[in-house]
Amino acid sequence: MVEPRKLFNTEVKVVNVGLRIFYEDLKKQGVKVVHVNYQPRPKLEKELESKLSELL
Amino acid sequence: MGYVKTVVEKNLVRDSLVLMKISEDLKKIPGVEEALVAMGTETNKKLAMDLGVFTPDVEKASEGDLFIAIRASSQEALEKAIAAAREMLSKPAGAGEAEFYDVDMALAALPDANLALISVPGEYAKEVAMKFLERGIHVHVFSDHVPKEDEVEMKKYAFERGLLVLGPGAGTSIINGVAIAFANAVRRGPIGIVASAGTGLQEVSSLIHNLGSGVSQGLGVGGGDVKNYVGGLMMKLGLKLLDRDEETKVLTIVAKPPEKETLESILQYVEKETRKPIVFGFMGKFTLSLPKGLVGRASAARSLHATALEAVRLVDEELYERGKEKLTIQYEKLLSMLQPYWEELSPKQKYIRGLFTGGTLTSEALTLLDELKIELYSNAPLPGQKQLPDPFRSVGNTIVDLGEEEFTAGRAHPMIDPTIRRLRLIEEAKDPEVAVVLMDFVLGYGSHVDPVGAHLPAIKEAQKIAEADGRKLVIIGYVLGVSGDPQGYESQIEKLRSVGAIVPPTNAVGVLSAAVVASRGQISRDIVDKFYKEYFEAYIKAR
Amino acid sequence: MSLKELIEEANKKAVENMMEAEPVLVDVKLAKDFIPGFKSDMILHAGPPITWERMSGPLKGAVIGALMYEGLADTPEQAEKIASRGDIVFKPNHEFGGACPMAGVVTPNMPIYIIHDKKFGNYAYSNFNEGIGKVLRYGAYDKEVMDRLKWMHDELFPALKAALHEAVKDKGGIAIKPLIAQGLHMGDEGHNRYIAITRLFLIELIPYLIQADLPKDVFMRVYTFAKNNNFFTLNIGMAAAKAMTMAAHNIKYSTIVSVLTRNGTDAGIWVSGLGNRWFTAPAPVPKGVFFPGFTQDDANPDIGDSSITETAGFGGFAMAAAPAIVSWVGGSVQFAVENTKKMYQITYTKHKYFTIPYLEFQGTPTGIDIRYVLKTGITPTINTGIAHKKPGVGQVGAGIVSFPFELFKDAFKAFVETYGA
Repeated sequence: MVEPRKLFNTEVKVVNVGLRIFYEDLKKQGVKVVHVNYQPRPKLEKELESKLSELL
Repeated sequence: MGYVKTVVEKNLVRDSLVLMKISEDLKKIPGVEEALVAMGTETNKKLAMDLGVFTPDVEKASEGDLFIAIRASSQEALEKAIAAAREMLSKPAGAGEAEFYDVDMALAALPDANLALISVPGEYAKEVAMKFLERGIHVHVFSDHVPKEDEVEMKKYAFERGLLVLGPGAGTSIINGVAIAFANAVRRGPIGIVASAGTGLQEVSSLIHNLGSGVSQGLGVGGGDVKNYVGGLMMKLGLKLLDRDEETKVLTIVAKPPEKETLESILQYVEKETRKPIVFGFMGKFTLSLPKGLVGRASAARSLHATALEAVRLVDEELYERGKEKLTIQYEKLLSMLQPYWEELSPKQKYIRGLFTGGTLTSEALTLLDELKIELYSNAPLPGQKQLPDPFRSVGNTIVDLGEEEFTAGRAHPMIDPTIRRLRLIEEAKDPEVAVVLMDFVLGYGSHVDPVGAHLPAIKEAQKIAEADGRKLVIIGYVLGVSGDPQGYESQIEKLRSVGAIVPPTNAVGVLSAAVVASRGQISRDIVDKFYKEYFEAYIKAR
Repeated sequence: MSLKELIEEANKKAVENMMEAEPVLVDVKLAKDFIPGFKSDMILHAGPPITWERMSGPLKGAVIGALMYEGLADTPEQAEKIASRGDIVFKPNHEFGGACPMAGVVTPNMPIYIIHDKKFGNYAYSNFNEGIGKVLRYGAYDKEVMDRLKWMHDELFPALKAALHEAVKDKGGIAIKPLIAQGLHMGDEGHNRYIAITRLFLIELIPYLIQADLPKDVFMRVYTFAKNNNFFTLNIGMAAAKAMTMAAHNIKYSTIVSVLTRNGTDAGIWVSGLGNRWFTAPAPVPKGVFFPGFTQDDANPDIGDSSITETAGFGGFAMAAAPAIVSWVGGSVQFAVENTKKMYQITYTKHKYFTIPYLEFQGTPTGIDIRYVLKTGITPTINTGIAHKKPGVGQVGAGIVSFPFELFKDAFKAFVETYGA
């Protein structure tokens, strides 16, 4: 099992996924942060989805 | 009334934050009187109507269409604004800054990330969050509308592994002094908070700061956490982690009272898994009965005001004594401060209108007014209070939470976009029976850059409307913030005072002040005394 | 082997072939001399198959111009009548080994470039580039357009033919892959920016034009036309890309996209393992920068075979190599870089020969894999010229466009049906 990463009393390093304003606010605070411009993936039918994971 | 032009862009979708910024920028173009660039939701159409920029085209726009609506003093300004809007809309999002398109790519760039802040649409939140949890990375899920089963799945997975899932639906966290999403620049200190109420965490942490103490960690676990379907998993884990954290001396909970089963299991867990003093800040008319093992170690409080004070008392008695004077204004003193205001009211002015942006601040207001025996309407009433028939129109005493769905569909939250409240304020001013308008201004990261400034023209106009009618409108503006907030705490307060507004030290004092002014100081002494005892200090005190 | 393993093996082969293809410009011919049975009742066009009725303005305009070019009609009205009564058979270039920009209309008597892939033996073609603005490929057909086409046929074509004859004698023709690879290091991406590549090509061509012993005035007209047209080599690059993707086509089990194109009404793709079967969806309208006097409202849905460049691993996919492109297609430099990065997520490999200095000389994203498109929801994003939606007007701008997701979903469905799972 993966160990939880240390969060308290260490440098916070953030991956921001979604609203860009939060990324900017974290940068303003001098936090190390990267931004993910998240686009929800179009939905696939269940059957197609399972075929896809089978073939990837 | 100037020229109006609207343009509908079919199937063009943009983030409401982006649109708000574009609307604001357009208003700076000389000659532009009103500008609204928004998605075609019912809320936005209504707003267009209120702003006087509604056209049949806008009416036809669907929720997936974007409309540009401009009112200007000249045809030229109108065209210029439309062109500018189009140009701004055509700019690719994120120009000039590195962006990533998926989690793996981002983690390659920041391999030792320890927190993910997730604000994707709720139905996708779990999918994204799990990618982080699987790698041992804690998450703060800001997204609303996360399916319950997704929340349970994430939290069970995380709880077993000692990982935090803050949220979903959590507006606020403070990690190592860093404001995550909507949070204030609160000093670091000995008080560790776990909150299921976003603005509640903001209010309590800011009051702690303003009392001179500080916060080690502020963990927003989301409103669902204390319901039985989750069973308080993250509240428990948060408390446990804070109990083991050397920086944290006192544990504090800020939450709505949990459902019964969950409450019992939280109490048991606290008794077994933690050792530090703890303040149970379960908001509202709720009385906690402590299990034996916690008597002496635990306090309980019913308001944000009292929770903050009690947490400070447990870490530093001296700070508490000093701070109590500042926060809990003695009733006689309050009366003499407010008397000049109510004396100027006309006999017809009797109602309170609360226009809130913070959810927890709203519910605190509802609880306190109820305790003060004031009958009221709300769009989010407590049991026994009356539902506002039309959330867009106040009646009698009204407290509205402008952060509720009916106001936010398709547009930014009122903490970010002041438009809806500005319009509402003008409406309240037109009602000759209104005595007091009560508003919250929430500062901190995430919020509007100048919330008070953005309301000043509307406040002045409201005052003018009242004066023209031979009345005087009392404005109470509570500023939730600390001096390090990006908006400038002191200057926000100063701006409110410059227009004659009353600026209380806490939300609760603001609510009490509104009741005092509206009743001309005629609240019965029994009620006041009980109120002070139950809401301005803890009703169970540790040690 | 499991189907998954078969796919991996097939895809490896497909992208390997695509990268190892050696497209060489060997000749120019009239289309009828390259395509067997190409008669005057047939017109080739860009994108997936389409009927006259469903054609957008620019494609109709190009067809009208082409019928007049062939002498089958004297007036646009007459041309329209001929086209609309069903006498003409319309066929996609891709079905004949061609890729031509925008409307991509080719008729029997139009000159075309012939690319020979010396590695795999395939032949590919593209037509001649007329320049920007009012041109046939954007659906314009006025006198200026027709006169230019006539000159290209009467003078440019024989001049190039003679020069290429010399080139073939000298070294078997002009190799195009090295020109593209160099161009990527000189600020071109090989779809909407051909400034460096055109110059590199001219340096190769001029000695052969001289050896061909053309009259001085002919030489000067050919040289000036080529020098003044920043898109002169686009069509050659496209034919080269077509040859590369042909080498990756028809590989059993492969999920790599081998054709990616649009006709102004529909967008369409081929998938290597599914042969010449078209998957289509409505073509999106590009967003972009417009020439003065035109706006987004004038834009036609996306059109042209030029996305063959992205299919082959350059063009829009290599935008990070061409920051200056954003002044033509809009967006920011950062966008150009990010687009390349984004395309890595849906491509099978990084190109062995085409590299991007700014990205530490990483290879360009190469070989769109429909599985990755489905997994990420990211679709190929390219830069493109924008045609006016009315026939006869021509190019009005340039911009960015992403292909519809449904194309890839439908193709994947068909793949599953074909190969089971």
